[in-house]
Amino acid sequence: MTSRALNQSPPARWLQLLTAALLAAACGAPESVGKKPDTDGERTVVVSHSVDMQGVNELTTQSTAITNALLYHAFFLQLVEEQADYQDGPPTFEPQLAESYEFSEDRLRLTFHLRPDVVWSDGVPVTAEDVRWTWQGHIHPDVPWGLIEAKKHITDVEVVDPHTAVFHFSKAYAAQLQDAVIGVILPKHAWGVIPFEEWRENTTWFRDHMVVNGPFALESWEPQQRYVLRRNKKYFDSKLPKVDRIVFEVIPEENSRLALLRSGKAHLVEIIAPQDAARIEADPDLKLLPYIPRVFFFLTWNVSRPLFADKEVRQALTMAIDRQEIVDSIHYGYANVSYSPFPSNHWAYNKNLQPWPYDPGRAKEMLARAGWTDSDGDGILDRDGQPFSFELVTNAESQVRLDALVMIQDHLKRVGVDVRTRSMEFNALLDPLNAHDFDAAIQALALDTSLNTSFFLHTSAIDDGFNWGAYSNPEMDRLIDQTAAEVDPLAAKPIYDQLQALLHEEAPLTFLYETQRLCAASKNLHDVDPNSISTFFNLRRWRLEDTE
Amino acid sequence: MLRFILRRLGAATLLLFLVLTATFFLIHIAPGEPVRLFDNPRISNEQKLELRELYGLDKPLGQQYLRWLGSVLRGDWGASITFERPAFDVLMERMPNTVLLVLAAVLVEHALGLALGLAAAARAGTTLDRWIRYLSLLLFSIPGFWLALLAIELLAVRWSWFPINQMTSEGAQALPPLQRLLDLLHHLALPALILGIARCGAVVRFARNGLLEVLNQDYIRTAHAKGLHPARVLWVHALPNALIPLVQRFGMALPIMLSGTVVIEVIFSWPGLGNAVFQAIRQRDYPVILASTALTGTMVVLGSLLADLLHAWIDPRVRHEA
Amino acid sequence: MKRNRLLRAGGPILATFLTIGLAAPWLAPYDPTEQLDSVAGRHLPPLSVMAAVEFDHGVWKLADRVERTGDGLLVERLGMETRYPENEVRNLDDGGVRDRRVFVLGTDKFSRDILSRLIHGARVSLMIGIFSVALATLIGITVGALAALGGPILDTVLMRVVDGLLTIPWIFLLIALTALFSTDTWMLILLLGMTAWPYISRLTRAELLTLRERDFVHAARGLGASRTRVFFRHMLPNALTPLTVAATLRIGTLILFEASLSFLGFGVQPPQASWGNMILDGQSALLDAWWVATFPAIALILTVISINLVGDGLRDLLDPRTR
Repeated sequence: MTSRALNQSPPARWLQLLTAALLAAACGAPESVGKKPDTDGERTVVVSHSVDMQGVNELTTQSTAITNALLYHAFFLQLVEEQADYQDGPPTFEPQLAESYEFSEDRLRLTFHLRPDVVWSDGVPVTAEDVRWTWQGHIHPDVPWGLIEAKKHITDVEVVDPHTAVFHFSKAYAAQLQDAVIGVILPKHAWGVIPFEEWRENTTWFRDHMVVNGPFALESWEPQQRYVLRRNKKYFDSKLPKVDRIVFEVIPEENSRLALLRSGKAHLVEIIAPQDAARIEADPDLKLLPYIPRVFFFLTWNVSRPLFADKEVRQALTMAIDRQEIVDSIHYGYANVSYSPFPSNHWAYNKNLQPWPYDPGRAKEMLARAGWTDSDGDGILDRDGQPFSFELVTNAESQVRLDALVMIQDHLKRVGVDVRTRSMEFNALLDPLNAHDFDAAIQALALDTSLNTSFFLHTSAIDDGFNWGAYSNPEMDRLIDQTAAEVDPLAAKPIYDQLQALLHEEAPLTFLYETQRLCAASKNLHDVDPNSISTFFNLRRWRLEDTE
Repeated sequence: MLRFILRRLGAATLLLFLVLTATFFLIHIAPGEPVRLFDNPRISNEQKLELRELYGLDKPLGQQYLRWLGSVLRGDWGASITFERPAFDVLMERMPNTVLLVLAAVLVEHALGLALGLAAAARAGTTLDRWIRYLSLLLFSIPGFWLALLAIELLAVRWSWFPINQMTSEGAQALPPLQRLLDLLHHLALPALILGIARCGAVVRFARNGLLEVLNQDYIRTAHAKGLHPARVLWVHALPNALIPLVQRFGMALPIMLSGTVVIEVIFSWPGLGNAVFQAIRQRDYPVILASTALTGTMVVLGSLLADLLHAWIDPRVRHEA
Repeated sequence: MKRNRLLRAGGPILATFLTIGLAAPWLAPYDPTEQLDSVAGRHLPPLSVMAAVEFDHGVWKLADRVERTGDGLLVERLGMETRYPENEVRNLDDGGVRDRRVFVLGTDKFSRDILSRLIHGARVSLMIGIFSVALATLIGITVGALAALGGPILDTVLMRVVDGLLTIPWIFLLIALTALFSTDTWMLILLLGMTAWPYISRLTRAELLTLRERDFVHAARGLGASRTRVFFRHMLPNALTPLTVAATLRIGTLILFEASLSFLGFGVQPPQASWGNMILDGQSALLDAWWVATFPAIALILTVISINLVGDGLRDLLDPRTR
């Protein structure tokens, strides 16, 4: 705990004295109140977090960011772990459960050599049997796992010996390694007691029979209040983790969440609002840890509507939105105007393009060329007697998107485009989006490391996927298919460049900006390295400096 | 008396059934689906169909309704889609927390309201009376959520008198019972005070006007005329009669309080029913929404029944009517 | 008449807010959705005065200081000086620029004028309160009258329904409804009206039942007046007094209710201003810009107080039984 925690105001101390007095009277045992029992000398990190975790079994639990973070970086091991070092080239993979791996000549077999010294927290060794059984769970139709798609080209996982497992593929493609290692390895000896068919009916059973092989175990869990991790003494790397306990306090309310950090009662908040960044920077005890996530914010035009069918119109609308002002205003500068779904620090990012400038004059000219002029003088453009008017929707949960909505409405008004705004709950919004029954929408999507852009750009994603704007372009489809088939990622770089250039030119989406995530931490918490995979990516290396 | 209770319960059950049926169709017709059907972009249509089948969402609505009704009659409210547990268990976990908060708030509301109201009535017409009435009017008009925000900012964040949120401190479970209780009370204090204070304005008026009215009645004058001690007249003769309307109000306090707690629970991160339902509605967790409708409905019906019984017990006129 | 200190205190405040609400478009100094410069104009404290520089295509910038130079304009904005040539600035005059903005109550995060939003918010809040209560009163009186005068079976059925509706924790239902079906202001009025009518109908029924047994009603019946005539000429006017009081007080409750809903993000939708969503907006900036949330909160409290004062005053004035 930082020293500030002790620095309480008089009434708080008074309350504590009162409690202490009452206690002394009651138990006759003078005890220092407020100190946690039996945790002396332990290093406890407190995280002030927005949501509860969902469950401990990856295959049946709802995958939320924090649940995934804990399952992948605290409780369980992957075969190898993808790193976030994609700045200069494709990401590398760090050994975890597997010491090494190699592909066969034809890339149809992928062999993993497991560490011999890894045991589950109950002492049972982790073997290739666990790997095979976990894969059987992944693809079992009655489980059914949300990421089952990743395993569709894997035909078998073969146990060669207790420490060697071979993945068999039906074809060679770019994301083979990613697909093989996604999903943490689960304990067959402990959880195999229940057949896969019955997992769905017993989702809570697993938390009561928790066995881990990762750096941390679950010490306690009070739903909607807190969950506490404790170091797993049987973790294969005896030097890790470097803290004894990590307490996640569940605090949905944003101001309260930050208040806990600022009052010294917590060490880390995963994401803070940009407007609070200055306050963190000014605080001598706190530090700001920004990073660029793999999330892109965009405005999708429904190109199946005649209003947005013309790419000149889409370009003009893009140039009529002052994205830099949105960045400066809503994000306090912690964002960059973008033109690509890839993060600007990503190796596949096309550095040779320029975002469409903010140029309302040129936008007006281009709209006029497309036949849109203010012929009746009411301040709104019209063509054939129809005003240029449309509805822009976004989801109500995101204050940032609501704010962007309000500003974009104002910007487009300046060039004579009438925007009606509407916010719906995300869940309700998905209906019109999937049915392509909307004019334009502000949304955000996340890319995974396979760099797959098909799910929101490919023609096939109109009916099954997130191609909400119903954009269809054979050239785009061809490029996407090429990137997915290319086994060597670096060889695909020119295709990625072409794809981004085409996307920029066609503007079926107006990319708004990429934001920086702002993680805030106390200065005595060291080696926190939040990255686009997770804020909690290197949880096992977090270190708490001794105070006093 | 028994017939009266049975009739009331019968009517309440029927009403509850209608409300639940309406809720069932409303939430299923409304746009949106349970969140986990959409929680990742790589989920395919095929997979969505499988998940829908898993939760029985692929059947025609009428069939889904009958199936739901059947399992409810067997006491099974279905599994929560987001909490991964039986919906009813989720709510039962939360209910004590909300009940605790509501009871504490009702206590604050009435203790404070009665004290102020009676003080005003006893000094009717004086400056004190006037100021108490102004105060009650002010309290009556302040939005509770605003008071809560202010209180958190000042009392919890700036001066650290109270914990910022939640119900317990970390590690509280390992504390000895008394210390645990104190820890809980420390967390409970602020939300209960806010909720109670924001609502006590009405009680002040009720108590003041009720007592004044009773004090003007003939039997009180008679009591005074008999030469009884004024304090005895006040406490034994006047007060019980003045409180009758308050008892009735008490029964209605529950639904109103349940409404009030949603906002307070959200602001204070209180792990109660309101918070759970708030989340369930957002995530389209049908079983939780339906079970909570049933649960709050039942609580409210029982609450108002209890109030009526209490009323009948205090006021003999009602007893004979029934 | 002495007791009507209440009316005298509450009446003028309420009348002021009503006038403000009605005349909002003429009273508000600026357009409540006008965002001139949401970077330099964000969260300006009350009484800020800024120069407003207009560029082509409706682009504006707010500046701390402008100075006319020989060949154009010197603009000091965000602590930096920038020079613009004459042909780029559209509202040049001899001293600098023609336009300036006086933000009496400060600005919000989009550089919108709080005072103007407050004034337009009055319109929305009062409209929601008054119209939804009017709706509730209409339904409530109808149902109450049917129950009181339509025979015992109808009475029992209606009153059980009313009992049931009175026991529903409405905020759950409203959150659900507004979340499930996106709402506009009229929908909100409808929904809020629906929550309030059971109370009015119960009151109506009780009043009418008492009135039915009063001598003058018996007399009217005895003189051969029709049932409708007895109801409209003799009973309803007498029941209106307590109903008016109750309805007035309800307006305050519903305004608060709408504010809570807006605060949770389910009420009036941006960019339209309501006091509730202004408080929500300001809540996240409570430390940086106290004025964003404080002024609408004060307006809200004042309005509700004045409504309650007027309600109490009316009760004293119209109903001699209470003191």
